Amino acid sequence: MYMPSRPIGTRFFDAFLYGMLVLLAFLFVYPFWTLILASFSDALELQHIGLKFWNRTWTLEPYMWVFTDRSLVIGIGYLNTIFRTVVGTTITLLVTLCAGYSLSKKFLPGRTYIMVFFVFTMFFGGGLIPTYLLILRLGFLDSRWVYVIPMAANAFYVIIARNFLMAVDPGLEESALIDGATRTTVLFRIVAPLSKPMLAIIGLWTAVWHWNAWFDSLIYIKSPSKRVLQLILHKMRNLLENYREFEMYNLQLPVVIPPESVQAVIVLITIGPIVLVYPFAQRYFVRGIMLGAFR
Amino acid sequence: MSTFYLLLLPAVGLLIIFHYVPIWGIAMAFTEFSYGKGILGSPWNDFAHFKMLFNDPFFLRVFRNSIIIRFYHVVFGFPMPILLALLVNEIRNVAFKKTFQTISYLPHFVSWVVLGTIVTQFFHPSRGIVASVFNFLGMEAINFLTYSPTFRGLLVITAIWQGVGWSAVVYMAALSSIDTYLYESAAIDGANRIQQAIYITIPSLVPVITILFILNLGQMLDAGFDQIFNLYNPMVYERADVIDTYVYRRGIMMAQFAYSAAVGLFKNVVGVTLVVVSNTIIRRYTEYGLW
Repeated sequence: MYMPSRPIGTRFFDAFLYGMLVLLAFLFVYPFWTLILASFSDALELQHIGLKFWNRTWTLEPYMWVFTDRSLVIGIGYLNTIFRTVVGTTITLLVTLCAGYSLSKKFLPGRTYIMVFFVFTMFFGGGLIPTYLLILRLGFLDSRWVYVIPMAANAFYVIIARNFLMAVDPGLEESALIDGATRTTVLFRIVAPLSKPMLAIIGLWTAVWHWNAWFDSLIYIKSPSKRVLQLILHKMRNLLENYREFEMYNLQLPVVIPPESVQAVIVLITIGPIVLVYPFAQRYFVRGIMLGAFR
Repeated sequence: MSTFYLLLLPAVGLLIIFHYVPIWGIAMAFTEFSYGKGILGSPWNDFAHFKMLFNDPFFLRVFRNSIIIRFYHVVFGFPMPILLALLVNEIRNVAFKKTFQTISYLPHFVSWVVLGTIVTQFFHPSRGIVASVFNFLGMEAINFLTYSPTFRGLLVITAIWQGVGWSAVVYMAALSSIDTYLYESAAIDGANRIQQAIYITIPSLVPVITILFILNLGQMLDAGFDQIFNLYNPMVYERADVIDTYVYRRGIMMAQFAYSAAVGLFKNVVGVTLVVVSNTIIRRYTEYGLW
């Protein structure tokens, strides 16, 4: 195609640009693609190493094994992850909406001091050890509530909610109040539905955080049945070098199924929901970054 | 009016319990702490832990490692999203641009537990793709995961791979707010695309770059706990053990609470100080800053 407005230098630049970005996109995706290939591989197939785009042979054995023989470990881990994501996100949204709503009212006495109280927590904290000992003392050890309560309030989210709600037209609220509605009714019936875009941003951030969290499960949870999926994967990480963790879970792998394949299956079911959702939700995440970065 | 305070109560209560009480808990770093007696019951120890800190060869090692790894992250990692944003910004095809961005975000949404698994399989000395490159060249494959001299490089490269696409978002937003009129008049004056990038695009990114750079300095001793914890092993402690991993091992695995709290406090204070100092300096010379 002849385009008179584009000199040869520009076309060369474009070719370089597109080539470069295609190569980069490949680098982002390829490691995930190799996981998909590995999850459908048997021991023989894994002998073929190198730059691989397709399997010579395909097998469902690793999936069958994960879903049937030992579905219990993985299944319970999955349920724990879903529990913390759903319950944790709900609690955070409620706490954030209520606090953000109050702080959005300019007439609230002491508002400035309460803001300082929130902002301070963004810059300074007690750190790992004092927090760990507090959780021990509160009796959260080996309880699933440790996943959803300690991190439920987040000053950064409260401030984002406050900024959003300050821009909401107060006229709607006032007319409802004149009609005799209480503040809480106004908050949940009128303000909350208007805040959907903001709640979507904070909810998605919190949900992804919960889905990917594992460290609290590592240090506070003792019973294997209360572990989250991410931690189970973390525990299985070492299995390429030794089988100790596998034995701990009483997982005896049949010879034909290599540990890499099983690992790949677990990784895929761990990241599956996120990979399926984020392309559609990314505009909320991007908008959220803007809210946070340019206050 | 009291309804508003009632609505604030859950958030304020949670932050007092889980944020302010641990800040009080830092006081244990100044005592001969025992869990049974609590902070007030444990005797004051005249800064013994802080004196110990600078005679502890392991602390000096993790302090050095944290700074060096962070320095590499800043030098090699910080410019990458800016470069990527400049490249993506030159793309005119909207569908290609959107697809590329979506793909580049992928590793950001995945935990380091998962990425650690992927990196481990990738660099596996006999089955990984890196091993096949060595085999192709007729060389014995190095196990990069246990090879101390290159381990920091591995950390920096994998961190860039994970974060570059998502970190570019902020810069992309700043770029999209530039008035196209500027480019048009520059083009009329005969500026080519490279010149336009140097004289229009890059200067308009300076405020964002400044702010992100200050925030970055505050994490001077944050070498990336999640990543290191999921990749390191005793073979590479010499170069990859950092303050946070050390606090975890001494504090939680070995239950030396007070000393680890002192290490954590040291890190926290350095971080806050750096943000305040760098913000003050930048405020003095430019109009940008966090506050």
